[in-house]
Amino acid sequence: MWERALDGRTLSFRLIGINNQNFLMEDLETGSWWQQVNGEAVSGPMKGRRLTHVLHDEVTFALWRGEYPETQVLGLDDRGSRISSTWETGTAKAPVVTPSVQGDPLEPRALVIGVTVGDAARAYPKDVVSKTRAILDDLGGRAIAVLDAGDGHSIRVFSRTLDGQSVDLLHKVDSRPARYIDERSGSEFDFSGRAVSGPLEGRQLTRVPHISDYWFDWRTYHPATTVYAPAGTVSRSAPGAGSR
Amino acid sequence: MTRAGVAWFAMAGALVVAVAVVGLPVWLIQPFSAQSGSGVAWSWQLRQIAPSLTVIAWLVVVGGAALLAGQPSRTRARRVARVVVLTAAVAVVSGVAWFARQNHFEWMFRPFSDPRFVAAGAATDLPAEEPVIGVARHGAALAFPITRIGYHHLVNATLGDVPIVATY
Repeated sequence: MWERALDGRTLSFRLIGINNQNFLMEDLETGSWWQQVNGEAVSGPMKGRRLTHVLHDEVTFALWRGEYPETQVLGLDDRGSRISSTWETGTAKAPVVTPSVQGDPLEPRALVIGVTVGDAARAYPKDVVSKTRAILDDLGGRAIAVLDAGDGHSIRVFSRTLDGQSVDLLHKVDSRPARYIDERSGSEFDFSGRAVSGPLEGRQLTRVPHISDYWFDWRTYHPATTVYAPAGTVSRSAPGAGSR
Repeated sequence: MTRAGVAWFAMAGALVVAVAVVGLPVWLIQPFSAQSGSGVAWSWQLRQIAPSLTVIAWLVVVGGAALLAGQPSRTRARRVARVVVLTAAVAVVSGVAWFARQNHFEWMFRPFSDPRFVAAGAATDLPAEEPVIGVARHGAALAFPITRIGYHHLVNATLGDVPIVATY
Protein backbone atom coordinates (compact mmCIF):
# COMPACT_ATOMS: atom_id res chain seq x y z
CA MET A 1 0.00 0.00 0.00
CA TRP A 2 1.64 3.19 -1.20
CA GLU A 3 0.91 6.87 -1.53
CA ARG A 4 0.92 7.80 -5.19
CA ALA A 5 1.49 11.54 -4.91
CA LEU A 6 5.10 12.38 -5.68
CA ASP A 7 6.74 15.73 -6.43
CA GLY A 8 3.38 17.46 -6.61
CA ARG A 9 1.78 15.12 -9.11
CA THR A 10 -0.45 12.10 -8.74
CA LEU A 11 0.77 8.90 -10.35
CA SER A 12 -1.55 6.25 -11.77
CA PHE A 13 -0.28 2.71 -11.77
CA ARG A 14 -0.86 -0.34 -13.89
CA LEU A 15 0.48 -3.88 -13.76
CA ILE A 16 3.44 -4.17 -16.13
CA GLY A 17 5.47 -7.25 -15.25
CA ILE A 18 7.01 -9.49 -12.68
CA ASN A 19 10.39 -9.58 -11.01
CA ASN A 20 11.17 -12.79 -9.15
CA GLN A 21 7.51 -13.39 -8.31
CA ASN A 22 6.92 -9.91 -7.04
CA PHE A 23 5.05 -7.72 -9.46
CA LEU A 24 6.21 -4.59 -11.19
CA MET A 25 3.91 -1.64 -11.74
CA GLU A 26 4.29 1.20 -14.20
CA ASP A 27 3.20 4.75 -13.59
CA LEU A 28 1.50 6.23 -16.63
CA GLU A 29 2.94 9.69 -15.98
CA THR A 30 6.68 8.89 -16.26
CA GLY A 31 6.66 5.30 -17.55
CA SER A 32 8.89 4.19 -14.66
CA TRP A 33 8.68 0.66 -13.28
CA TRP A 34 8.18 0.21 -9.55
CA GLN A 35 8.65 -2.88 -7.38
CA GLN A 36 5.48 -3.70 -5.50
CA VAL A 37 7.11 -5.08 -2.35
CA ASN A 38 9.24 -2.06 -1.44
CA GLY A 39 7.78 0.78 -3.52
CA GLU A 40 11.11 1.46 -5.21
CA ALA A 41 11.46 2.51 -8.85
CA VAL A 42 13.79 0.00 -10.55
CA SER A 43 13.74 1.41 -14.11
CA GLY A 44 12.90 4.63 -15.86
CA PRO A 45 13.18 8.34 -15.02
CA MET A 46 12.20 7.78 -11.37
CA LYS A 47 14.75 5.00 -10.82
CA GLY A 48 15.92 4.92 -7.20
CA ARG A 49 12.95 6.90 -5.89
CA ARG A 50 10.66 5.36 -3.28
CA LEU A 51 6.94 5.77 -2.72
CA THR A 52 5.72 6.61 0.77
CA HIS A 53 4.45 3.54 2.59
CA VAL A 54 0.90 3.58 3.92
CA LEU A 55 0.30 1.71 7.16
CA HIS A 56 -2.29 -0.95 6.50
CA ASP A 57 -3.83 -4.06 7.96
CA GLU A 58 -4.43 -7.59 6.83
CA VAL A 59 -7.37 -8.69 8.97
CA THR A 60 -10.76 -10.34 8.60
CA PHE A 61 -13.63 -8.29 7.22
CA ALA A 62 -15.51 -8.91 10.50
CA LEU A 63 -12.71 -7.38 12.57
CA TRP A 64 -12.20 -4.45 10.18
CA ARG A 65 -15.82 -3.38 9.98
CA GLY A 66 -16.08 -3.76 13.76
CA GLU A 67 -13.27 -1.24 14.21
CA TYR A 68 -14.21 0.97 11.25
CA PRO A 69 -17.99 0.79 10.74
CA GLU A 70 -17.75 3.70 8.25
CA THR A 71 -15.36 1.75 5.99
CA GLN A 72 -15.92 1.57 2.25
CA VAL A 73 -15.34 -1.83 0.65
CA LEU A 74 -13.94 -2.49 -2.82
CA GLY A 75 -16.71 -3.98 -4.94
CA LEU A 76 -16.42 -6.44 -7.79
CA ASP A 77 -15.69 -5.26 -11.33
CA ASP A 78 -18.24 -5.80 -14.12
CA ARG A 79 -16.97 -9.30 -14.80
CA GLY A 80 -16.95 -10.26 -11.13
CA SER A 81 -13.16 -10.87 -11.28
CA ARG A 82 -11.87 -12.58 -8.17
CA ILE A 83 -9.57 -15.34 -7.06
CA SER A 84 -10.73 -18.37 -5.14
CA SER A 85 -10.95 -17.97 -1.37
CA THR A 86 -8.77 -21.09 -1.18
CA TRP A 87 -6.06 -19.36 -3.25
CA GLU A 88 -3.49 -19.87 -0.48
CA THR A 89 -3.56 -23.62 -1.03
CA GLY A 90 -2.89 -23.22 -4.75
CA THR A 91 -0.23 -20.54 -4.35
CA ALA A 92 1.59 -22.65 -1.77
CA LYS A 93 2.29 -25.21 -4.50
CA ALA A 94 3.60 -22.69 -7.05
CA PRO A 95 7.28 -23.00 -7.87
CA VAL A 96 9.85 -20.70 -6.28
CA VAL A 97 12.52 -19.28 -8.59
CA THR A 98 14.77 -17.29 -6.30
CA PRO A 99 18.00 -19.13 -5.48
CA SER A 100 17.64 -21.69 -2.71
CA VAL A 101 20.03 -21.40 0.20
CA GLN A 102 21.58 -24.30 2.04
CA GLY A 103 20.58 -24.46 5.68
CA ASP A 104 17.75 -22.00 5.10
CA PRO A 105 15.87 -21.74 8.41
CA LEU A 106 12.44 -21.76 6.72
CA GLU A 107 10.72 -23.29 3.72
CA PRO A 108 10.65 -20.84 0.76
CA ARG A 109 6.86 -20.54 0.92
CA ALA A 110 6.62 -20.33 4.70
CA LEU A 111 4.44 -17.33 5.58
CA VAL A 112 6.21 -14.72 7.66
CA ILE A 113 5.36 -11.44 9.32
CA GLY A 114 8.17 -9.17 8.18
CA VAL A 115 9.11 -6.22 10.38
CA THR A 116 11.80 -3.59 9.91
CA VAL A 117 12.90 -1.07 12.53
CA GLY A 118 15.65 1.22 11.24
CA ASP A 119 18.19 -1.07 9.58
CA ALA A 120 17.04 -4.16 11.47
CA ALA A 121 14.75 -6.65 9.75
CA ARG A 122 13.21 -9.75 11.27
CA ALA A 123 10.83 -12.42 10.03
CA TYR A 124 8.30 -13.92 12.44
CA PRO A 125 7.04 -17.26 11.11
CA LYS A 126 3.27 -16.99 10.94
CA ASP A 127 2.70 -20.40 12.54
CA VAL A 128 4.80 -19.33 15.55
CA VAL A 129 2.84 -16.07 15.84
CA SER A 130 -0.49 -17.89 15.64
CA LYS A 131 0.56 -20.40 18.26
CA THR A 132 1.99 -17.85 20.68
CA ARG A 133 -0.70 -15.18 20.02
CA ALA A 134 1.59 -12.51 21.58
CA ILE A 135 5.31 -12.33 20.85
CA LEU A 136 7.44 -9.89 22.80
CA ASP A 137 10.67 -8.94 21.14
CA ASP A 138 13.28 -6.24 20.76
CA LEU A 139 14.19 -5.17 17.25
CA GLY A 140 16.54 -2.39 16.23
CA GLY A 141 16.52 -1.03 19.78
CA ARG A 142 12.75 -0.92 20.01
CA ALA A 143 10.55 -3.14 22.18
CA ILE A 144 7.78 -4.56 20.01
CA ALA A 145 4.85 -6.94 20.35
CA VAL A 146 3.46 -9.11 17.55
CA LEU A 147 -0.21 -9.81 18.31
CA ASP A 148 -2.45 -12.40 16.69
CA ALA A 149 -6.23 -12.01 16.95
CA GLY A 150 -6.79 -15.74 16.65
CA ASP A 151 -9.03 -15.70 13.56
CA GLY A 152 -6.39 -17.15 11.25
CA HIS A 153 -5.65 -13.87 9.45
CA SER A 154 -5.40 -10.85 11.70
CA ILE A 155 -1.95 -9.91 12.99
CA ARG A 156 -0.62 -6.53 14.15
CA VAL A 157 2.71 -5.28 15.42
CA PHE A 158 3.05 -2.58 18.08
CA SER A 159 5.76 -0.61 19.76
CA ARG A 160 5.25 -1.64 23.39
CA THR A 161 6.75 1.21 25.35
CA LEU A 162 4.58 3.64 27.32
CA ASP A 163 6.16 6.42 29.43
CA GLY A 164 9.54 4.70 29.17
CA GLN A 165 8.14 1.47 30.60
CA SER A 166 7.80 -1.66 28.53
CA VAL A 167 4.36 -3.20 28.23
CA ASP A 168 4.71 -6.98 28.45
CA LEU A 169 1.64 -8.40 26.80
CA LEU A 170 0.43 -11.93 27.31
CA HIS A 171 -2.53 -13.37 25.45
CA LYS A 172 -5.50 -13.73 27.79
CA VAL A 173 -6.53 -17.37 27.48
CA ASP A 174 -9.92 -17.98 25.82
CA SER A 175 -10.59 -14.25 25.35
CA ARG A 176 -12.92 -13.47 22.45
CA PRO A 177 -12.42 -10.93 21.00
CA ALA A 178 -8.77 -11.30 21.81
CA ARG A 179 -7.40 -9.51 24.87
CA TYR A 180 -3.83 -9.17 26.05
CA ILE A 181 -2.72 -8.52 29.60
CA ASP A 182 0.27 -6.38 30.53
CA GLU A 183 2.15 -8.39 33.13
CA ARG A 184 3.65 -5.28 34.67
CA SER A 185 0.52 -3.15 35.23
CA GLY A 186 -2.24 -5.72 34.91
CA SER A 187 -3.89 -3.56 32.26
CA GLU A 188 -5.88 -5.27 29.54
CA PHE A 189 -5.34 -4.37 25.88
CA ASP A 190 -7.47 -5.13 22.84
CA PHE A 191 -6.25 -6.03 19.34
CA SER A 192 -6.20 -2.38 18.28
CA GLY A 193 -3.48 -1.77 20.87
CA ARG A 194 -5.69 0.23 23.21
CA ALA A 195 -5.81 -0.42 26.95
CA VAL A 196 -9.44 -1.15 27.79
CA SER A 197 -9.04 -1.62 31.55
CA GLY A 198 -6.52 -1.32 34.35
CA PRO A 199 -4.13 1.52 35.27
CA LEU A 200 -3.26 2.15 31.61
CA GLU A 201 -6.90 2.32 30.45
CA GLY A 202 -7.33 4.59 27.45
CA ARG A 203 -3.67 4.49 26.47
CA GLN A 204 -2.81 3.51 22.92
CA LEU A 205 0.22 1.57 21.70
CA THR A 206 1.79 2.80 18.44
CA ARG A 207 1.62 0.57 15.39
CA VAL A 208 4.78 -0.69 13.73
CA PRO A 209 4.40 -1.42 9.99
CA HIS A 210 4.72 -5.04 8.93
CA ILE A 211 4.05 -7.07 5.85
CA SER A 212 2.74 -10.57 5.49
CA ASP A 213 4.99 -12.27 2.96
CA TYR A 214 6.53 -15.50 1.76
CA TRP A 215 9.93 -16.19 3.28
CA PHE A 216 11.66 -16.37 -0.13
CA ASP A 217 10.33 -12.92 -1.04
CA TRP A 218 11.08 -11.30 2.32
CA ARG A 219 14.61 -12.75 2.27
CA THR A 220 15.21 -11.44 -1.27
CA TYR A 221 14.37 -7.86 -0.35
CA HIS A 222 15.81 -7.97 3.19
CA PRO A 223 19.02 -9.97 2.78
CA ALA A 224 20.24 -9.11 6.29
CA THR A 225 17.04 -10.33 7.97
CA THR A 226 17.07 -12.51 11.04
CA VAL A 227 14.40 -15.06 11.86
CA TYR A 228 12.59 -15.02 15.17
CA ALA A 229 13.04 -18.26 17.07
CA PRO A 230 10.31 -19.37 19.50
CA ALA A 231 12.72 -19.55 22.43
CA GLY A 232 12.81 -15.78 22.21
CA THR A 233 16.46 -15.50 22.99
CA VAL A 234 18.05 -16.79 19.81
CA SER A 235 17.48 -15.18 16.46
CA ARG A 236 19.08 -16.92 13.55
CA SER A 237 20.53 -15.04 10.64
CA ALA A 238 19.49 -16.02 7.16
CA PRO A 239 22.45 -17.89 5.64
CA GLY A 240 24.19 -15.85 3.02
CA ALA A 241 22.91 -12.67 4.61
CA GLY A 242 24.33 -9.65 2.93
CA SER A 243 25.92 -11.61 0.12
CA ARG A 244 23.33 -10.61 -2.43
CA MET B 1 23.40 -7.13 -54.87
CA THR B 2 20.34 -6.45 -56.96
CA ARG B 3 17.62 -4.06 -55.88
CA ALA B 4 15.39 -7.06 -55.09
CA GLY B 5 18.22 -8.63 -53.06
CA VAL B 6 18.60 -5.45 -51.00
CA ALA B 7 14.81 -5.41 -50.40
CA TRP B 8 14.75 -9.04 -49.21
CA PHE B 9 17.73 -8.40 -46.94
CA ALA B 10 16.20 -5.25 -45.42
CA MET B 11 12.88 -6.99 -44.84
CA ALA B 12 14.49 -9.95 -43.10
CA GLY B 13 16.58 -7.63 -40.90
CA ALA B 14 13.56 -5.49 -39.98
CA LEU B 15 11.55 -8.59 -39.08
CA VAL B 16 14.28 -10.03 -36.85
CA VAL B 17 14.74 -6.71 -35.03
CA ALA B 18 10.99 -6.20 -34.56
CA VAL B 19 10.43 -9.72 -33.21
CA ALA B 20 13.44 -9.43 -30.90
CA VAL B 21 12.54 -6.03 -29.45
CA VAL B 22 9.03 -7.23 -28.63
CA GLY B 23 9.80 -10.84 -27.78
CA LEU B 24 12.81 -10.35 -25.49
CA PRO B 25 10.94 -8.48 -22.71
CA VAL B 26 8.18 -11.09 -22.81
CA TRP B 27 10.77 -13.81 -22.39
CA LEU B 28 12.84 -11.95 -19.77
CA ILE B 29 9.98 -11.11 -17.42
CA GLN B 30 7.79 -14.18 -17.77
CA PRO B 31 6.09 -15.39 -14.58
CA PHE B 32 7.48 -18.40 -12.72
CA SER B 33 11.02 -17.84 -13.92
CA ALA B 34 13.88 -16.00 -12.26
CA GLN B 35 14.63 -12.40 -13.19
CA SER B 36 17.88 -10.50 -12.89
CA GLY B 37 18.27 -6.78 -12.33
CA SER B 38 19.83 -6.35 -15.77
CA GLY B 39 17.06 -8.44 -17.37
CA VAL B 40 14.43 -6.12 -15.93
CA ALA B 41 16.45 -3.05 -16.99
CA TRP B 42 16.75 -4.43 -20.55
CA SER B 43 13.05 -5.19 -20.66
CA TRP B 44 12.26 -1.63 -19.71
CA GLN B 45 14.61 -0.23 -22.36
CA LEU B 46 13.26 -2.49 -25.10
CA ARG B 47 9.65 -1.70 -24.22
CA GLN B 48 10.40 2.03 -24.48
CA ILE B 49 11.71 1.75 -28.05
CA ALA B 50 9.42 -1.06 -29.23
CA PRO B 51 6.46 1.12 -30.36
CA SER B 52 8.54 3.35 -32.67
CA LEU B 53 10.97 0.64 -33.76
CA THR B 54 8.16 -1.68 -34.81
CA VAL B 55 6.59 1.11 -36.89
CA ILE B 56 9.90 1.58 -38.72
CA ALA B 57 10.13 -2.18 -39.23
CA TRP B 58 6.54 -2.21 -40.51
CA LEU B 59 7.34 0.52 -43.08
CA VAL B 60 10.46 -1.35 -44.25
CA VAL B 61 8.61 -4.67 -44.61
CA VAL B 62 5.51 -3.20 -46.29
CA GLY B 63 7.66 -1.05 -48.62
CA GLY B 64 9.83 -4.04 -49.50
CA ALA B 65 6.77 -6.20 -50.11
CA ALA B 66 5.25 -3.58 -52.42
CA LEU B 67 8.48 -3.39 -54.41
CA LEU B 68 8.98 -7.16 -54.65
CA ALA B 69 5.35 -7.99 -55.45
CA GLY B 70 5.70 -6.15 -58.77
CA GLN B 71 8.88 -7.97 -59.82
CA PRO B 72 8.57 -10.35 -62.82
CA SER B 73 8.75 -14.07 -62.10
CA ARG B 74 9.99 -16.91 -64.27
CA THR B 75 7.19 -19.25 -63.31
CA ARG B 76 3.72 -18.93 -61.88
CA ALA B 77 4.68 -21.17 -58.96
CA ARG B 78 7.51 -18.85 -58.00
CA ARG B 79 5.21 -15.86 -58.11
CA VAL B 80 2.68 -17.59 -55.85
CA ALA B 81 5.40 -18.60 -53.40
CA ARG B 82 6.70 -15.05 -53.32
CA VAL B 83 3.27 -13.59 -52.63
CA VAL B 84 2.79 -16.09 -49.79
CA VAL B 85 6.14 -15.20 -48.19
CA LEU B 86 5.55 -11.46 -48.56
CA THR B 87 2.05 -11.73 -47.10
CA ALA B 88 3.39 -13.71 -44.15
CA ALA B 89 6.12 -11.12 -43.54
CA VAL B 90 3.58 -8.28 -43.54
CA ALA B 91 1.28 -10.25 -41.24
CA VAL B 92 4.10 -10.97 -38.74
CA VAL B 93 5.43 -7.41 -38.66
CA SER B 94 1.87 -6.06 -38.28
CA GLY B 95 1.21 -8.46 -35.42
CA VAL B 96 4.45 -7.50 -33.70
CA ALA B 97 3.75 -3.76 -34.12
CA TRP B 98 0.31 -4.31 -32.60
CA PHE B 99 1.71 -6.35 -29.69
CA ALA B 100 4.23 -3.58 -28.93
CA ARG B 101 1.20 -1.45 -27.99
CA GLN B 102 -0.38 -4.08 -25.76
CA ASN B 103 0.15 -4.87 -22.09
CA HIS B 104 -0.19 -8.63 -21.94
CA PHE B 105 0.00 -8.62 -18.13
CA GLU B 106 -3.34 -6.82 -18.21
CA TRP B 107 -4.70 -9.59 -20.42
CA MET B 108 -3.90 -12.03 -17.63
CA PHE B 109 -5.24 -9.72 -14.91
CA ARG B 110 -7.70 -7.16 -16.20
CA PRO B 111 -7.28 -3.77 -14.54
CA PHE B 112 -10.00 -2.30 -12.33
CA SER B 113 -9.74 1.20 -13.78
CA ASP B 114 -12.88 2.65 -12.18
CA PRO B 115 -12.88 0.90 -8.80
CA ARG B 116 -16.22 1.04 -7.06
CA PHE B 117 -16.62 1.02 -3.30
CA VAL B 118 -19.68 0.17 -1.26
CA ALA B 119 -20.53 0.81 2.39
CA ALA B 120 -19.67 -2.01 4.79
CA GLY B 121 -23.34 -2.72 5.40
CA ALA B 122 -23.97 -3.11 1.66
CA ALA B 123 -21.09 -5.58 1.16
CA THR B 124 -23.41 -8.52 1.74
CA ASP B 125 -21.55 -10.69 -0.79
CA LEU B 126 -18.38 -10.64 1.32
CA PRO B 127 -18.14 -13.32 4.04
CA ALA B 128 -17.19 -11.95 7.47
CA GLU B 129 -14.25 -14.33 7.83
CA GLU B 130 -12.62 -13.28 4.55
CA PRO B 131 -9.36 -11.38 4.92
CA VAL B 132 -9.17 -7.79 3.73
CA ILE B 133 -6.40 -5.25 3.33
CA GLY B 134 -7.60 -2.38 5.48
CA VAL B 135 -6.36 1.18 5.52
CA ALA B 136 -7.64 4.07 7.63
CA ARG B 137 -6.58 7.66 8.06
CA HIS B 138 -8.26 10.82 9.35
CA GLY B 139 -11.72 9.28 9.56
CA ALA B 140 -11.61 7.61 6.14
CA ALA B 141 -11.33 3.83 5.85
CA LEU B 142 -11.09 1.47 2.88
CA ALA B 143 -11.14 -2.32 2.77
CA PHE B 144 -9.80 -4.33 -0.16
CA PRO B 145 -10.99 -7.96 0.01
CA ILE B 146 -8.00 -10.17 -0.84
CA THR B 147 -10.05 -12.33 -3.21
CA ARG B 148 -10.67 -9.16 -5.27
CA ILE B 149 -7.40 -7.24 -5.08
CA GLY B 150 -5.54 -10.55 -5.34
CA TYR B 151 -6.93 -10.82 -8.86
CA HIS B 152 -6.23 -7.26 -10.03
CA HIS B 153 -2.97 -7.03 -8.01
CA LEU B 154 -3.25 -3.27 -7.77
CA VAL B 155 -6.03 -0.72 -7.45
CA ASN B 156 -5.59 3.05 -7.71
CA ALA B 157 -7.78 4.63 -5.04
CA THR B 158 -8.13 7.68 -2.83
CA LEU B 159 -8.24 7.50 0.96
CA GLY B 160 -9.92 10.68 2.16
CA ASP B 161 -7.94 13.12 0.03
CA VAL B 162 -4.77 11.02 -0.21
CA PRO B 163 -4.24 9.18 -3.51
CA ILE B 164 -3.00 5.67 -2.81
CA VAL B 165 -2.27 2.49 -4.70
CA ALA B 166 -3.36 -0.67 -2.93
CA THR B 167 -1.25 -3.68 -3.91
CA TYR B 168 -1.35 -7.38 -3.28
